[in-house]
Amino acid sequence: MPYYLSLAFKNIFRQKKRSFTLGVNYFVVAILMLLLFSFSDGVKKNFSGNLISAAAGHLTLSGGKVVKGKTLIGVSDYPKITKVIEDEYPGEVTVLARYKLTSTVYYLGQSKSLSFQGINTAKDTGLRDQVNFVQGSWADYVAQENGVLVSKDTADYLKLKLDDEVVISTRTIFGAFNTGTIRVKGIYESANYFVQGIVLCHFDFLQSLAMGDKLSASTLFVYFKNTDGLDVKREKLLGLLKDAGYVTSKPESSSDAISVVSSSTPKNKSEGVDVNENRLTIATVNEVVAILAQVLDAVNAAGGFLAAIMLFIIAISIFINMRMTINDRMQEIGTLRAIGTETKDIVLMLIFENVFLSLLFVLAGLTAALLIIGFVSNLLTLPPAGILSLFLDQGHLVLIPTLGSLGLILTVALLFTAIFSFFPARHGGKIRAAVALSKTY
Amino acid sequence: MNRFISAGLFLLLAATLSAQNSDPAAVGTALIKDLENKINTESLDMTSTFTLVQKKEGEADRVLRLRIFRRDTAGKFTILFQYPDSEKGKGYYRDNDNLYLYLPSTREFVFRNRKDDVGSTDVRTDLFGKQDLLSQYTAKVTGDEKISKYDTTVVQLDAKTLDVSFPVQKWYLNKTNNLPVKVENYSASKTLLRTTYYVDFKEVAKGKFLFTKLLAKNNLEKNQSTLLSNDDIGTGKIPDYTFSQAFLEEQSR
Repeated sequence: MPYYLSLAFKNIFRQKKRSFTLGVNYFVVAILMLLLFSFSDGVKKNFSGNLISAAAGHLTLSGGKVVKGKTLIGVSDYPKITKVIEDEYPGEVTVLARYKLTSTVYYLGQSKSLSFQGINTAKDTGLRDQVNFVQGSWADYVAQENGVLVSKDTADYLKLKLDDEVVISTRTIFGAFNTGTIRVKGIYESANYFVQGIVLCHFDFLQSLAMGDKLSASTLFVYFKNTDGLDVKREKLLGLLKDAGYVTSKPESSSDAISVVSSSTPKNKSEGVDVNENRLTIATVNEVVAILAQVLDAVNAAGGFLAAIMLFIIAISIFINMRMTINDRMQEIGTLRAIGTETKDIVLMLIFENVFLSLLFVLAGLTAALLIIGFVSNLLTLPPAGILSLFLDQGHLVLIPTLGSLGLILTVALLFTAIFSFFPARHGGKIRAAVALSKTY
Repeated sequence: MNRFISAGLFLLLAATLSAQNSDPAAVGTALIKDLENKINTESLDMTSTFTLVQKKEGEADRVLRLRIFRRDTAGKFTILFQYPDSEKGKGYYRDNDNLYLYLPSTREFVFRNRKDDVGSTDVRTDLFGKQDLLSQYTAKVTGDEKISKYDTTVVQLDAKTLDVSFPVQKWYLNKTNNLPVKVENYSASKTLLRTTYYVDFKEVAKGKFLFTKLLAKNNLEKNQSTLLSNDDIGTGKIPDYTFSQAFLEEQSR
């Protein structure tokens, strides 16, 4: 090891007050940035996880059947689509059909517009793990043809109890009103944001209420063993389904992808009466969460801006500290130069003093941030209500510190220190021995 | 005088129908055709002020006042919200099947379903325009019934396609003048959703009638109803400009 490195290391705390003042800045920046990155990564993972568990597939298909220019929302002949997908990926794919609609519920003089989701209870059991029953059970719900599971909030609002029968009114896919009776077979709570508020029904019940044909569904969720190569898989399916007679497309934007998942009415231009086709749009889960990624990038940018201000303060502190240090240590610099130490070695010694200081305090900051993350993620429990549940997993804030984040923060801090130490250090290194010693004596 | 002539003509129609044709569908169709002829005012421009009072259990009454400009010949109407202040400047413009809601807060027109509820009341926008029931429904007489003091013929309308809000309707038509006394709207599963009681009509031209009072009741939401009264009825020529989006924008300023 070059001798100036060991000298630099020994000099870190020569001016204790100055070193600690500067170090605290590194410490705070490290904590701030790691918390921010961990929050961002946590939200992304939690959001995707919750979304996939409840409201989207790795690939989500929705569409419409255009008959004489009029669009009937929904996926046509979903068993055919399912077969195409399962034949292409035998044994490694699960395709789930969902029926969705919004309906007004009337009960005891109260009314509320609610989102209904119909599932095939024999195959689509993922939601069972997302709900905690306050009353009733999954088995009771499965056994009753018009049975539903309602959230505790909805049940409290409408004063619903187990086994209550309730009239619902909705528009069918053709536009006419239809009514049906549901029976409450379970009241649940869920920490998953995408499950909260949903009224879970049977697929066949909703399909018949919406007067859809027996082969129609609102959306299809496609799950693979992992999320690798979703774009390639999507391209392949677009081609296969086109061959099967569908007009296929990809969402043009993130908001289009969200429309696919929410099965909301597509923004169709008015079309001629001679247009008759089955349309399908396939969105990947990455496209759906892209809009969230944009928001998180903005949050990260705001955090980064704050960190940049702190780094600017650090830069000024480094500059002032080093000028003062060089003046204070003129005798030492003069002696080192007199015994033959070269300019570059003096420069490197001064730079490494700051680099070691930043390394020490950044590592301390990262350690503190990890402790805070550990405490918040495991010991702090928050109520999983409303929008807050987007950030929570079983009531705990999801913060994921990655090695990438740790490495990035450390690298940026060290490089920044090295760059801003270089100019005052170069000034120190250029001082000749005679000048330095004459200033001292 | 005109009223008596109109009633006389209707009695003549009813007598002819019952004597010559006992087919419920043919009679029902003829009655609805006659009804449309009476309540559609193709030859006239109509202007009036509607006052809607929505009553909901446990809530204060909600009052809306609207100015309506109607031209059935062109299948157009314009509705301007005048009261309360929070709704002022809003409006609807209908041009045949296209219905637009103007929102002054964002200064934009929102395309709406032509069966939109006016200001979240139990009254629908299609009530204000030309009725074209026979193009959407098949009619048949299902019997007679006494509604309050009126003897009525019940005509059931079944939707030809499900592209209508109410797949089944029952119109209770006054036997003396063939004007509706009550209308019931049913869902596809035959659940009664809404009932509209026509309380009073005014003859605005020879053989042409406009309701002046009606009560719309929501049968699913118990104890919720909307009372509608129609005043300041005028039949003077309305400037063409009134039936345009620009007019709504201008009025909101």
